[in-house]
Amino acid sequence: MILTDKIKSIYPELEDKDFIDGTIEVWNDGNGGDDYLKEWNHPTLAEPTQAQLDAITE
Amino acid sequence: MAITINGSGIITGISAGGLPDGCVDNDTLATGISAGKLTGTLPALDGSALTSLTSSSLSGALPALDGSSLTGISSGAGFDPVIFAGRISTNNTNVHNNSTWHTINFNAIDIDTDSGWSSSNSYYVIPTAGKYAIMGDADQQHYSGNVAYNFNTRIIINGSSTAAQASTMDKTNGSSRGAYNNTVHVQAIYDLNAGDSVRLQFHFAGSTQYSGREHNTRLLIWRIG
Repeated sequence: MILTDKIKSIYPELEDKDFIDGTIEVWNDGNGGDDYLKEWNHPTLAEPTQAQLDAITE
Repeated sequence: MAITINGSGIITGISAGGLPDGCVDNDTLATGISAGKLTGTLPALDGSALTSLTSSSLSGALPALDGSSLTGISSGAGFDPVIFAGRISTNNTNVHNNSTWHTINFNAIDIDTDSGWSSSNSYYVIPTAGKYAIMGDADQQHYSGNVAYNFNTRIIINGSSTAAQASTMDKTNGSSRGAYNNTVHVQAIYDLNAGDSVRLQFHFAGSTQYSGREHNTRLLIWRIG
């Protein structure tokens, strides 16, 4: 499962626009590396921990 | 004619050419010699001895000047151009993840005057400070139907500041459609410092997608001042 889907799985209330307007920034550097969480600026939801993300499987 | 020296100190009787050559020195010449006395063919003058020449005195046909001798001309875009033109060389069939800002790694660099492109980092490094025009095109394709898709492209400075962002909405109105493309354009003029980085990113708020057809995804950067 890709990183954005994992985040949406943890917080189903998130919308696509949250990933566009700077609230949450998931980046891929285009050089073969993985997606990563660049910024988390959500006003109420806490940034998920790596353990939370790792716990989500397909 | 007889030479006469009268009591008032005036010598008369000297004919033109009657004095020995070279006997009149600079101190003997009176000030205020009129221009009318200096007409005709003048001797070759050493230019270094000429002073206080105004620009209006130099109008008309000027001699060919060696540009290396010109001073006071500031450096700028016209004298030291900085140009970058990169694109994706072939259709990119990589499927990118949705809701993720993807930095485009241009693999065909047509012009890079200052070797500013970093393929390992997928961004351009500004070589010299100045005002830069930046134009980016990101071609994106999806192949799912029935929903509205929002395509976004933006220019990122130094990994965080967004110089420009543009988006377009692609709506299918409930009918399933095949694969099709959108090219989103962004432009910006930015005052940048040497070492600043410039990325072009795209984003797709929908299901799987990929980018871009050859020549439709590109980044142009050039210094304008």
